[in-house]
Amino acid sequence: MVLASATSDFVSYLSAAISEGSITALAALGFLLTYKATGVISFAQGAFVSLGAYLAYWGSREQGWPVLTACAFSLVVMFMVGVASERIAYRPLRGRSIHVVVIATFGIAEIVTTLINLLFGADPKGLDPLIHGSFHLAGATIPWQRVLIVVVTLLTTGGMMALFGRTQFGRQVRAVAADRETAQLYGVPVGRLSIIAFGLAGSLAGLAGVLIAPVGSINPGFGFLIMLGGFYAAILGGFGSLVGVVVGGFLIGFVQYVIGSYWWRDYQSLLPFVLILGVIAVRPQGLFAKGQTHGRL
Amino acid sequence: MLEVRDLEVTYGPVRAVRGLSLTVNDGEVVALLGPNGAGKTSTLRAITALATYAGSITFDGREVRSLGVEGCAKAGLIHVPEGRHVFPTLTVHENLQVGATAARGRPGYSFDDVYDLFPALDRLRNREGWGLSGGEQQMVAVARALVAAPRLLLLDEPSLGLAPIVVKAVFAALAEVRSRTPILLVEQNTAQALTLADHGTVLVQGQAVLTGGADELSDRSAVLASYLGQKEIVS
Repeated sequence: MVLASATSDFVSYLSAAISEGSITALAALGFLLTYKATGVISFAQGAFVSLGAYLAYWGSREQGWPVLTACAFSLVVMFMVGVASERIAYRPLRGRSIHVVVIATFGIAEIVTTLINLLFGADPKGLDPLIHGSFHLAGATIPWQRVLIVVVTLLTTGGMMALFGRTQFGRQVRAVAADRETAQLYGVPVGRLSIIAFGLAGSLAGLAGVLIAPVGSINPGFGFLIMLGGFYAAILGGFGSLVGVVVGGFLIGFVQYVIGSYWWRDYQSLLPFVLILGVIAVRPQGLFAKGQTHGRL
Repeated sequence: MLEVRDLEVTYGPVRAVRGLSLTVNDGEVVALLGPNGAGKTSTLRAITALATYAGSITFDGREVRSLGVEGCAKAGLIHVPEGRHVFPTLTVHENLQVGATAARGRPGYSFDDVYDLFPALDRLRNREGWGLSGGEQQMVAVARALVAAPRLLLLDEPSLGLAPIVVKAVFAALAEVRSRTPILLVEQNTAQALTLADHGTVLVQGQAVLTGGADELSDRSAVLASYLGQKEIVS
């Protein structure tokens, strides 16, 4: 009986670790996209995670649309929000110090968070899951939504790898990241690439938002913490490495939700930082980074 | 097809190019010669709108200033920059695929054509740019420019830092290219450049000091040598 309870504890900790790790990885992929294409780490991503969740909430709860429709609506709008952030925070500041652009992305985050507060209030809201119900595994109850999160993350990662590795868009983005001026000499449309990258990053943030919202509740600031997790995952895995950020996301989930549930429960949310400090002390470039050079669009 | 008139390129207080005029016609190879710092690279950078300039540079009658960098590439003005600038994180074949962006359906060299021209690249297709030797990088840089379907090829110091045997291979390939594509060639290796070129212009401190046919410039090697600060040019 004790053994059975121990197993079910472990399985439920592990399922939390894997699904939280997935969300962290999704958030990190958004960072990676704009970083690879433009060299900019966009701290608007956190507010976009929140906004994505609120848009789905608005569609499903306030308009009465099916949850799937509301989520699809959110991803489309978030693409446009991503594009708008490129136009407002990045394009006019191109050529200025990268720090100026990064601070501008914080500005976008503030504006979006404030708008959410004004429109929806600060009270926590709920979003229905795309898949209801749960299943039992070794005595632990696992919601299907958590499984969905993991599957979507793996599919998204695979899609990103194919996008960067096998399409002309991906090759052009990598060429610009490596050597912007030379890419332009061969007619690579750097302006259009940065718009698409920011748009896709917006959709990725929205995706993380609509997936994680049903697991708990949403408030205007909830995306910020998810974004921080994604940022740490990107540092841990090595900025620039797709596989790295996903592994980084899962490692953070594992350390926080498995190790943190057995030992040091009081310090659970602190453990990822210990892990990151440990890793960057030994490998400052992150776990998976190769010696890459990065430019800007 | 390329007309440069009274070109001035200025970086702050430095006047890199002063009043240069030159023309490249269809079917021609023109060499721009001169010592280090003469303004050769600045001239090429102005021609593809990378550097701001005064005066006029027209390609098929259109001012390159208004075409912009991407516009020049799309119009077929293809620039192989000094130092090769192969994309280090892309494989050889991916470098070519990105180069082909500028072709936009213009007839030109296929991937097979350039692998035939540089057989050494065929077995390196999947090697990333940073793992290539200088000579291999130069071949990739030229191959990448050819799949961009150039209407005029601008080459900046293709022999720089390469072993003589590699220089020979690159120029042998360029000798084939010239039958299809006009070239504006910037070189410090005067002897090598004059084997390929029809005409040449010698640039010293931003000004054209000598212009003539390749044979004529070869014959006046002593004069050339004095301008270029070299002992012997034509070997």
